[in-house]
Amino acid sequence: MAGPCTRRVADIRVILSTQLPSAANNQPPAMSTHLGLDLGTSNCAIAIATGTAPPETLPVTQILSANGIGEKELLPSAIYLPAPDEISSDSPRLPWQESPPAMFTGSFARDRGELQPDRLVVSAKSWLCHPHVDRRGPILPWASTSVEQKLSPLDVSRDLLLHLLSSLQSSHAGINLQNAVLTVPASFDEAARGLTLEAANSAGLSDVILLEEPQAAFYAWLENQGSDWRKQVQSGDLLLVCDVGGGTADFSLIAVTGKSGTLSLERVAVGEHLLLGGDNMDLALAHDVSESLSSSGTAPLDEWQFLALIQAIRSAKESLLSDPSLNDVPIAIPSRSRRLVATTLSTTLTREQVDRIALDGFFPLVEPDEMPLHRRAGGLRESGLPYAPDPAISKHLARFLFRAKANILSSPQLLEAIGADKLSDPSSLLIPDAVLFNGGVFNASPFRHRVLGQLGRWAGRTVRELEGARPDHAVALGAAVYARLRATGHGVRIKSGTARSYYIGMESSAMAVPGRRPATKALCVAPQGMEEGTTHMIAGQEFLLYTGEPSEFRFFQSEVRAGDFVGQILPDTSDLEESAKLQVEIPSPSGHNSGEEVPVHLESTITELGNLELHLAHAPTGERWKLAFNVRLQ
Amino acid sequence: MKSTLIGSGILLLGVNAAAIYLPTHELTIGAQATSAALGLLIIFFGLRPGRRKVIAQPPAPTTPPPPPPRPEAEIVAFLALLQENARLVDFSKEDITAAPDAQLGAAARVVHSGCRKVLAEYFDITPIRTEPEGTTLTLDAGYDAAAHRLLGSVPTHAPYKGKLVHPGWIARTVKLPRVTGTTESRPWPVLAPAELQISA
Repeated sequence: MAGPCTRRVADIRVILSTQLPSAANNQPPAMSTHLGLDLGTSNCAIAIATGTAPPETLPVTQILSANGIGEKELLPSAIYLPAPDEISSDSPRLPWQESPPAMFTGSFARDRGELQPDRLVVSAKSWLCHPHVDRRGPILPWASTSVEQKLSPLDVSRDLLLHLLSSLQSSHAGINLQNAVLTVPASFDEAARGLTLEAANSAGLSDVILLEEPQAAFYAWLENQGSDWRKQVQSGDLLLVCDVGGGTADFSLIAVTGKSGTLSLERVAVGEHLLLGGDNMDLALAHDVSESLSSSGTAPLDEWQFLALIQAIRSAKESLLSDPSLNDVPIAIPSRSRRLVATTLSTTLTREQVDRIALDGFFPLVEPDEMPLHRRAGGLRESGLPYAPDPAISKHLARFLFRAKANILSSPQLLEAIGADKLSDPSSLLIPDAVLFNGGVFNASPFRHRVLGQLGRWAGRTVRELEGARPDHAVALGAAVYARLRATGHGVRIKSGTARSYYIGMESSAMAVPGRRPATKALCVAPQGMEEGTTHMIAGQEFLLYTGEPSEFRFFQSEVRAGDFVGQILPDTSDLEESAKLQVEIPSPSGHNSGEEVPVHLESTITELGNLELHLAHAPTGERWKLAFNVRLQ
Repeated sequence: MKSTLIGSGILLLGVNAAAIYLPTHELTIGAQATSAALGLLIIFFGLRPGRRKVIAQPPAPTTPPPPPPRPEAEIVAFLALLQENARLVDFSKEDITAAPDAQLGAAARVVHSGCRKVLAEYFDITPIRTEPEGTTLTLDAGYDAAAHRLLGSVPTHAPYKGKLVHPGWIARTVKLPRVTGTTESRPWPVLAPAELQISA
């Protein structure tokens, strides 16, 4: 509950602008507005920056219950698909809906869907970056046996965006949707980013710009600090943005370079996609409490009691974490029966449980070489989201900082920017000087202190916290700040470019050997840090393109090879991660037979929107083919 | 309907006049006067411009706009909100005479946390007075009489000097959900739907 005061002020404004939709509020805004959209794994939010005023979040109109609609700061990223017979003409509908919808989004969807888990779509964003499923196919709710018309991860993102935009347009008619900024996890690869752009386009945002969430949180912090930010950091500092939300964890490193007075910022490393967050803690605590209940002779909880337990745990955990004087908090678990007094179970959550499970389970103090488990022990696993097998966020952080060091060591340019003394440290990890926390988990100070303590232990020196973070709404606010920055050119910009290096697989030219396929080499088409709006021509090299018959293209990526350059050929792909595979038939250019190989030049472009495109140009005929990286892995 | 009324009035007057001029039947003056007055009254009401006739509308091809909710609907919807979050109706309707306090206490936690959540979500409630209870206050003439209640022996005129017993509460903002889905036949929402567990 950070800053109830600011929240109250914001609420009053909100009521004036949305609860009384008078003509004055529906006029197009006179000053230029800049829009930021946070399409989160658990919750979505909208923020606008008007003129030079501080950015503010806008409440989202949504169905709150079976009887009412209203506004909330966050739109839960949940879609509930009711059985057709459950909908009647008096089912709730939104102001912009002509008839009761076939599916619901937001608060009501999350609350109702919790009671019908088979008809609830949540965490769709994590499916959007899941390389082993058909992300355009109707697969959600995953493994549901009762829903007939399922949705694709792409549909879900589009529908959530459509809801946000409809709400925005009903309260701010005529608002400028041009150049809106939409955030994605830093860990999203090019395919997931491409799919997000596609979802935005189909929701009516034609020229949306993507921004990584940890960077957005950092922009919100910069805006909040005003010119004072230079007092908290200095040239040579390495800053960690540590973002742990409900279901995901996301890390980025930002380097502060330049001379004093003209400090500049560069994002130098991003982490892997981790499905691990605050919800895992609540679930772990609920299991522990439920087990101690049944060992004391209580009948096992039914699924509804378990849901009620998780909710009760959430607030009890927050009480224990925010008030060090509490040793335990009583918990009441109601059943769904109307006999509330007769059936409510009573138990407690203790500080020992919170310390042991939430703090030491998720943020244990570990050695720098303790890496997270890669897989669970079971040989066979139910298909589903690739949840992080190891709950220890500290170990994932160690792995991130280890890989970040390797990444920077690979690039003389980054090495120079950061300064060699940072890397002369004997530690295998690249330890930051300060941390900006983001995400709901870090509202609780014990988690912030634990992360700082862990980093300090690894570094042998104090690692400080950047003061003034707003863990709950920073991403949407920062997106609006960035939208304004792009439009006006005023403000500090984080130099970033692509988060990873990208490669295309290439069959090596070798003598035929029976029973052996020629090895796949990897050609670097976009190095890490390649900026938006740039094009690289792979000069002086010709490649042979197989046309007229289906052939296979393989795409690879790496987070740890910042030093590679466009046109560089890696002898094999063992260091890389395969991100996509595409089976495609490229038509033969005129005058060539099918099955013929034609010489092409390669050209890679990062569009202004941050999308990676690869162009194959056949000089003699002037024909060009485009391969987008948002292809699906078969 | 209207023409029947007028017709029967004229008939009654006609019968009345016939009774006067053709005194075959023996009617008292009083009865005659009464029936005449009754006939006039019937004609008057029959001719009086009535309420605008409602022409039955053909059923609209699309869903008609939902009727505006009645004021009761807002209150019932709020009670439903308290039931959903705080089980307030369950709690109030349950017989707790013999329930042990420990059991009652557990249920009270459910009710308390739910009510607290609803109040925080839809109202901005603050105390009217910021002084701690027990502080001596003076209210000058023109004080906000609606926001202060005087207890004990109150003199005719302000200033009123007294000890603060309760600092009061006020909702600075209210943002209740807007009720949807009410119909002619169900003018307010259900408080809690009956629940059925579907087994696989």
